[in-house]
Amino acid sequence: MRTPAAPTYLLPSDEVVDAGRWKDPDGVEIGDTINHWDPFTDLRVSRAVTVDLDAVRTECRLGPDAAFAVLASWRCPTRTRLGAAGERVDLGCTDGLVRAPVTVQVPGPDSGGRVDLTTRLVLLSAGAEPSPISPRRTGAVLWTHTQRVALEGSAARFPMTAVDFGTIARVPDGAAWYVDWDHEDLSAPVLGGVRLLLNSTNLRIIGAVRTASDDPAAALIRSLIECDVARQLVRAALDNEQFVQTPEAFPDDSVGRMLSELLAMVWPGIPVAGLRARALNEPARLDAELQERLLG
Amino acid sequence: MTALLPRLDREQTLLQIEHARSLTLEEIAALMPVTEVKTTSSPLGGMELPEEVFSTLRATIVALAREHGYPGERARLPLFDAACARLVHDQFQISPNEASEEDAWSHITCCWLLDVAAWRWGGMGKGDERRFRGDVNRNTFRRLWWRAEILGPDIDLMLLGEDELVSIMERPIVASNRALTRSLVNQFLARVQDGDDGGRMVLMREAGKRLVRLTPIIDFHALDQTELDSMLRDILDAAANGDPLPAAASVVKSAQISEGVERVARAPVLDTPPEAPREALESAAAELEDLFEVAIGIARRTGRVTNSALREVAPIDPVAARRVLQGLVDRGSLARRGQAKGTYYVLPNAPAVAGEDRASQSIAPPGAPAWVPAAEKTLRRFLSRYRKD
Repeated sequence: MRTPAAPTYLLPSDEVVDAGRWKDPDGVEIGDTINHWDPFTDLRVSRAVTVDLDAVRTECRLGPDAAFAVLASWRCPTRTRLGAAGERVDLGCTDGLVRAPVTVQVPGPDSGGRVDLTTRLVLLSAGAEPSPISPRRTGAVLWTHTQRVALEGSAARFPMTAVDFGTIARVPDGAAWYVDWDHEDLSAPVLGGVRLLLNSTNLRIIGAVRTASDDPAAALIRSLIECDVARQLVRAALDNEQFVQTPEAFPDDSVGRMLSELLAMVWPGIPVAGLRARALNEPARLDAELQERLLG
Repeated sequence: MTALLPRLDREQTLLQIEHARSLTLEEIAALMPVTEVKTTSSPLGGMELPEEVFSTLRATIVALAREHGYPGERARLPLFDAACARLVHDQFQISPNEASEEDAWSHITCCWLLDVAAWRWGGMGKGDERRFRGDVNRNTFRRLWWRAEILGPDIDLMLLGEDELVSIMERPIVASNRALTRSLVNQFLARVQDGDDGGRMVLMREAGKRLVRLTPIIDFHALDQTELDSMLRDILDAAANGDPLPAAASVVKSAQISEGVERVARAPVLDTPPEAPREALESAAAELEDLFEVAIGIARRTGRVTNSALREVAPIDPVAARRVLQGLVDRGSLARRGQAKGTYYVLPNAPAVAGEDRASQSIAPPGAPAWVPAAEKTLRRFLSRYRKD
């Protein structure tokens, strides 16, 4: 069991600080989970902190020349174990009730798993005549609040990478997306066996797949990509003799199992052999049924 | 774009390790690289590194190991580790997020460098399997990558001993802060390079302990570089002398105020007209009595009342709530218990409240409407006056 910290100096009561909710740059409050987070997106959040400096001074027995600051920091204790802080906001020797904005940016590549957002009121200077039991050290923590936020969420994701297609010989430079997989090796794991490549030079496509995209066409673009990827996967699966004969024989988390589940979701109750016949005789109908299921 | 590393799951990793335990170093080396495995990679990120990168890394690290005795007697292992850390870190342009994946380090170790890892630890035999799978603190190469990452390119890893590095890296609360860690190492090296190198291993251990003890009460992120260096010098001095950290001197600093900080009016008595209308004061007095009743009601129902509990029922700010509760203490209607963050109020002569379960009980009586002040500013003035009186 962790031993609670026992500062050897006076602490103010909790009520001396009133902190607003953490918000993203659009002013939207963040909850305890950020879904669709990815390690290429920095998380920038801010909150307003109101401090009753008169009460802090009184309860800590500090004089009017004592100076304070507030700051926010982050730490990812479960994955990267890294942390850092946003800019320190100096409150100086102000008295009365003051409000200060604190902001922190959590770099995507440095984070993951869970991020603890900690807001603190700290002492910068104890002034000329602190009492013997007043806080004295620069950086002494007077008030703290930590909010845990789960990154990544729990939603399953299709493997995806943004890359300049000019650097990949097998893909046309100007294509917008490309499903990179070996459709003969369906026992390969999904994470490793199949990957959607997005052309990083196509800014509209890249922007559209971001969760926070403000492009009004983003949802449509995402649906089109999803539909096209599913169509390619379905067509290739139904072309694969081994898959058609034994669609249930692939291990969990394999490409073959994913395809088997995809077919069962779109065409529940229809045998794979029947779907193959439809793909040969009525390919347009098969595509339309897929659209209906995914876009409907 | 960052690179992705192939990942080898725990089951396949352990199979590789168990298989290698009965082999000689030469036989393990002959198995490298192991490509007949199923690997995965992150669903999001850059492109998986091609095999050539791993081939090059293997060739470079084997050559480095040979300089230190591989496959025979091991020599100057700290220097091998230091050079290997830079090689692994520079070869893989991966993010800390990617470098936090156990299965990625299992793949590197078991499929490309298992012979070097076995040599580094004196053979596999019944040795610690965590050296070979991607354990966060023990994996042969993962721990080296992180040393290079945390300490940065400007610190010469060859100047630090294994025990000193472990003292830093296996204290996550210290190693999580790159600036703190680098400052600690720089101050430590400056000290030992000045000739004070007696018992340097003990010095770092003791400094690490003192530093960890300070982390809950000092926010090191709040210190600028000069302040950080100064505090770490003090910590090293205390560690060297076996003393506690000296008391901080009273300091008066220039008190700048950051942009964006604003004073918030709270209707102090001096800022308001000398007299509020009599009706408003009477109304505020009535509302104050209502608040007193609400607070006492909470204490009666749940055994205690806290500032936040009162604010759940009455839309007042923490300062006003504190004054209401203090007002009841002054009247003798409530008694204050606990202190600072643990402050709560109970009815006089009530026993101390044990446990926190009461805090989660509903504090409002069933069906009770939320208390809404009709003239909040007037009420606050009244509260100020009440306290003054």
